[in-house]
Amino acid sequence: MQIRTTFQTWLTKEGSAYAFLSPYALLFTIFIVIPVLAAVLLSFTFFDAIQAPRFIGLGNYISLLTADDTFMKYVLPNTIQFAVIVGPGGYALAFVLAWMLAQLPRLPRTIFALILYSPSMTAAVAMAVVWKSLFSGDQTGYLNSMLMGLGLMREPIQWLQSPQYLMTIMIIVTLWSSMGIGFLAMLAGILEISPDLYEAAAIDGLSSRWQEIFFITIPSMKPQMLFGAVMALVGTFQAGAIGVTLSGTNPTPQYAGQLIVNHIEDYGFLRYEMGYAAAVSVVLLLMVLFFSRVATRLFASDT
Amino acid sequence: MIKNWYHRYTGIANRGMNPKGFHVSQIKFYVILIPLSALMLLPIVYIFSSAFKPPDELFAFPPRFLVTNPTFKNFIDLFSLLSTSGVPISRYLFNSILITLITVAASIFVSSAAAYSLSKKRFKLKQMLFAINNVALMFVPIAVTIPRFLVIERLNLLNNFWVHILPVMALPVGLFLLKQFIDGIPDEVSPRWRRLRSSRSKPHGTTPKFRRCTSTMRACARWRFISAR
Repeated sequence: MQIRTTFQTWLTKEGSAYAFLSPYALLFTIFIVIPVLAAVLLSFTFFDAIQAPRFIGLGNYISLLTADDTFMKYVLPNTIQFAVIVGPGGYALAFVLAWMLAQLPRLPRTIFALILYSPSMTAAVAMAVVWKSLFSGDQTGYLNSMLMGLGLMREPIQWLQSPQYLMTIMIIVTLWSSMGIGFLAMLAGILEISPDLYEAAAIDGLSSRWQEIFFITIPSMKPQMLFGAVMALVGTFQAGAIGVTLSGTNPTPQYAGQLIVNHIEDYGFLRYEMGYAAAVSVVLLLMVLFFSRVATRLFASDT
Repeated sequence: MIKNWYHRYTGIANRGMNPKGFHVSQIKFYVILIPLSALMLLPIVYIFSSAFKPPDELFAFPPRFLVTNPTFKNFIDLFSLLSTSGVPISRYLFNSILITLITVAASIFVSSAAAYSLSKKRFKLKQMLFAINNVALMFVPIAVTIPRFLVIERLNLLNNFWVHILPVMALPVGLFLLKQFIDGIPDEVSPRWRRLRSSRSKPHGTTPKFRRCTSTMRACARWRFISAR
């Protein structure tokens, strides 16, 4: 009897909450939680997709840190370089653009927002066709043809195959498509700030636009800033495939554009060392988590 | 009066955020934004213009950016070639549209129900569940492709229509957005809502909130739509 009543009180108090939550929770568990846990488990095994996984303890992690020359020499520095430029760079760009757009009247603002947002709607695979012909290596490539027409170069450059340019092009392409949902959220956030706040601050002696940004705009839209930061982070780490798409080979020429995501693909789907690939993906997940902790610390709202 | 026509655009009106009309201080933004938007649009203009190029223009030297003799031949070829070679393009189109529609509708329903619960209900695991969802927000799909495949195989979803829908229905970003938005709505949105709450005769209605949420839901739907392809 006692148990029954406790259960009943629980049901009336919290039951509806769980009822609303359950469909999402079920799908979330099956398709996100279980695969992540499985990836963690796989990372402690040797698994070649044919034989059953064999437990080898921390072996994968040890060889990742000590024996994987490519990872330490190219993949990790590349990833950090790419992430540092594209992540904060794209994020700052999105904020500045949103801030500018917020100071325009409605019609031009909508038009510009649509234009800036449109690249992020395009599928990366479809756009690869465009980038490949723009940066094409022979003289029919647009960039080559233009630069040669201007007399800046005499011979076409293999943009996508040469290690010294690939990274730059990857960064440009990713920045191009980085005005995504985070940008829209920030724009909405800036517009929602009450004009009274600016007025009050002006009366209190706030003089420059910089002060306005740092003391009013950013603090008033912390949730949107956090969301934008997280989206920028995820976008940065997911954009990794761009190097392989652009150069058409995995590994990329001389590992110039090799990022962690490509390294996972390389080991998981080309060499079928699934256990090792799983270990690399766990490291990637940990990296993303670490950076998002930093972002949360920066923009945590006081709730 | 003619002499000072520009005073309309230099005064206190329309300065700062969310202006109603033009102001001189906006010129600098236009100067930056117009070239930048042109640059952002270039690849998209290119892909549209190339779709209408006849073959000799596609491989022309020196390459031309815009099409000079636009043709619909590429589109006609796409449909006629594919239908003669036995590749059912109409089927692909139908699949894409149907799957997108189902996914958008279903994931909006599932996510908004969960977001409502996480935002307005009180229960013990609330903070923890939201934290888990936030962690999943950073989840990089490629990192768990292999175990995901194994799960789908176990569930007998291979070569099945549902494989396109079920795995992408739980969308952490959508839940996050909707939850944040519902947080911003005060509990007492309308007298009707208060009546519903106090009477307790009906189940907790979501109607007023639902109406206020539509813009966020649209955003979610758009996001879902983009990633559904």
